[in-house]
Amino acid sequence: MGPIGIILVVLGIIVFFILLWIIGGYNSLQTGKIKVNEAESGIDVALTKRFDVLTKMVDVVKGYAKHERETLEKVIALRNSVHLDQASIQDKQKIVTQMDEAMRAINVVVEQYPDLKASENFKQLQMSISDVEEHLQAARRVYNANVSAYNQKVQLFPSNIIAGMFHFTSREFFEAEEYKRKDVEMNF
Amino acid sequence: MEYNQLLKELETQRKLITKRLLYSIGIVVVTLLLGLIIGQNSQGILIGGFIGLFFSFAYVGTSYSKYKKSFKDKMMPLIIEKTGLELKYDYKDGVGQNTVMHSGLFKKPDRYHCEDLMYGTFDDVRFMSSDVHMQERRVTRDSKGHQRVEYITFFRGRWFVYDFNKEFNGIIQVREDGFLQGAKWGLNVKKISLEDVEFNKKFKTYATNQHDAFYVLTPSLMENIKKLERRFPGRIYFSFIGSELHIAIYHSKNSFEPPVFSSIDDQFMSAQVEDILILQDIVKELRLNRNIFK
Repeated sequence: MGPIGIILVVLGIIVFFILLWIIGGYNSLQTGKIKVNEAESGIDVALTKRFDVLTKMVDVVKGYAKHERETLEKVIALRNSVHLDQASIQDKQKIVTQMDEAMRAINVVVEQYPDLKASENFKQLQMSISDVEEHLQAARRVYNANVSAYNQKVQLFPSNIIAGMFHFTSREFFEAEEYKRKDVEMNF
Repeated sequence: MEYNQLLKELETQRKLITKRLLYSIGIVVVTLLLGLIIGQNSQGILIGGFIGLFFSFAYVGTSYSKYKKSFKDKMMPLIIEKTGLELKYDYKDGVGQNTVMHSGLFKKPDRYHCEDLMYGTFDDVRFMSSDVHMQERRVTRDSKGHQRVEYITFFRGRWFVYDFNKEFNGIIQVREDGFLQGAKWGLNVKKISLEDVEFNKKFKTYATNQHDAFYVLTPSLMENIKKLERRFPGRIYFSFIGSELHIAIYHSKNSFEPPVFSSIDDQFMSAQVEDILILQDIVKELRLNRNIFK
């Protein structure tokens, strides 16, 4: 084999390894993206459950609420208007904040009416909401962990080259104030 | 029986063991000499030595068994009383092999031994604990083709089982060592990386799914697991399965054994009390008594 042949073989080997690296890098980024999307649907599931329990709670306390009625009705309206699968992560954060407001309003009402607090129906809902909160917090942490891993791939060298080539962009974290690195405490 | 009277009785039994230990040295020396005189060769010494050792073991063993039985039958209930915990104790029983295997923490042993079972309830959390010793049978051949069977210990320590306050499907394991052979005993788990870097460095976490791992291992639980790990020497393992939490502490020690070469004193008693109070401390530290649904 002549010198040109050797150069061609070496170039072929180099191109082969570059291709392998690009394929590997692309797949790794794509996997990261899928994981982030899966984790986001986990948040959607938890939010839907939270909406459902919250709506039931609003139904129960509505009759007792005078001053908080408007806040509670906002949640019902939100429930009917929002499509979680189409909402951005910022929108989801806003939804969580509004739901938190509703939770606080429910809290205020419940504190004023001990008979409501003691009712079996309400106790059942309390149990459900506590579990839903735990799941929502878990979903948020899973999402953020996956976003962190994915963003590192997108931003760090050399995988950022492949990310740039295929237009992979960093994703935003889900950071609802109330959930920052602490366990959920539902106090009624 | 009064505490001081019991202490005296145990001390007498302990002294008898040490006395017999000294006598047994004499027995071995005598049988060795007899073997040498009668046999006139190394084989005679060997036979003499074996006979001496056999009698010595029997001689010391009977008094040790009696001492151990007295300690466990009479002293342990008093120690448990000192803890203030309401628990039942049976030194002949332990956490069953099926329960231990249910945790999925270790492979099936070829030899299983358990003792010093304690069980009860604290703050509505049911628990049980015992010493567990697991060994695997290993057959080796030397260069001459002779087969040798030995039993290798892969776990020796305390095993705890608690009610766990969250329900989920699947299994979550937190281990101080890796889990390279996990697939061997049929667990369909994957390695999970949590957001606590220090926790990830200290432990390897495996779970059937990522969401369950994050659901169970909250930031505060991870902090408390780290605290618990710092408290115990040896390796520590956690398995969350169904509504149970298994904690295995591999420290190669046999708990609640009476001392032979020193007397039972206040220091020893306090150590035993502390060892039992671990049952309650774990509930508090891991907040197992916190009902999230309350």
